[in-house]
Amino acid sequence: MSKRPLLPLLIAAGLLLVAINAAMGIWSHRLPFRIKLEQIRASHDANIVFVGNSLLDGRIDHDILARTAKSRCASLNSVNAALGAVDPPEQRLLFNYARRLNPGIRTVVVGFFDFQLTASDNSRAVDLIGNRLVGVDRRFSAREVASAYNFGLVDRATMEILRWSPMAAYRGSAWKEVELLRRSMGTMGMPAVATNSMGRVSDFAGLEAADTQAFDKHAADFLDNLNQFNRSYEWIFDQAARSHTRVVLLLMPMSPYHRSAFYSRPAWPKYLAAIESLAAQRGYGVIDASEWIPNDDDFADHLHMTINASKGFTARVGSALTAMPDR
Amino acid sequence: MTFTRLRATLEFLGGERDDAPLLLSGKYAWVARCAVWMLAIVLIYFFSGQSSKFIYIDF
Repeated sequence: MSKRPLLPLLIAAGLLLVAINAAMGIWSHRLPFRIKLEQIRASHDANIVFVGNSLLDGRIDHDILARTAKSRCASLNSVNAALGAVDPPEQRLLFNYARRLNPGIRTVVVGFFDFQLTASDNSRAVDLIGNRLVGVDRRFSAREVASAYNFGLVDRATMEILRWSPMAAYRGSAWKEVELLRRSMGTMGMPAVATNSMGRVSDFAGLEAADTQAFDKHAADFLDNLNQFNRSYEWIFDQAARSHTRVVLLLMPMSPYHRSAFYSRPAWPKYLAAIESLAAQRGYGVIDASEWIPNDDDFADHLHMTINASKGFTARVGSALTAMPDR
Repeated sequence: MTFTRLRATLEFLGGERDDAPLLLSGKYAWVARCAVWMLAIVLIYFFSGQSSKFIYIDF
């Protein structure tokens, strides 16, 4: 066996890692979560913040909301902190970032569907990918991120590696390209499948309950122990209470399919009544917009209303918010 | 690089032959070996997410 100098190999390997990390850092500069953070940073003097996931992301028209409020002699200057493909801990981080930059926020609207408000979250650092990696941004301290996820020592260390290594953090960006290649090859010679800006329409069925039994079980689990929301939302509500900020829970518009398949179940009205009761005890407002959009064509899939439909939705949200008492 | 050299290099990398071709045995063979490992690492990196179930693709 021939002897090879170790040092040049180590140097080359180190340079390679640095190069890949630098490339991934540059490549990932325009990820949606970074764009969202910049949008929040660009906001100023907002007095209302929207929190949620892809159902609300891009679905609030700032100008329509302001005009609607003005026509009712009110003022709603919004910042939309909702971001697609995130869970409650990321929503908490985005909310807090918006709140830090806009101390005048006096209303927080949390958009939700199904059991989003009460489902538990047990995310590990290795689960974080795509927009869920918002916590790697230096705008959030390691302590704040660890607190948002309730991380233990191992997950804190993993998160620190992700924060220092773009190659590890943004692996999803590379995987996405392979997935797109796989999808394009998979459709060769096959009938076209419906897609929207977020992916394949059929894939979003994965965000709904697997079946009606699973849906009923979610509802029953909460009804058996109906005293609190998800811990990230509890944190948001606690911060809101400290700053005398009004909390509004907004049940997002659902497609006729979703309402027929799930919200027509006997378990759903019971669950929603329990949520409304818990909200009323704490002085939160509730807007049930689930039936606001009756047309299937106004939905990009079972869950997401189209951008076009969101304009009318925004106006109705504005009207409902201005009709509510301040606290 | 001629096709024959490329074939010899690929066969050596694949374990088909024992004698290293000039590219992988000369003075700057370590550079070529680095390039081979770099290619392997990048390919593994890109294709290691195949067990992930993608719903959203816009991130």
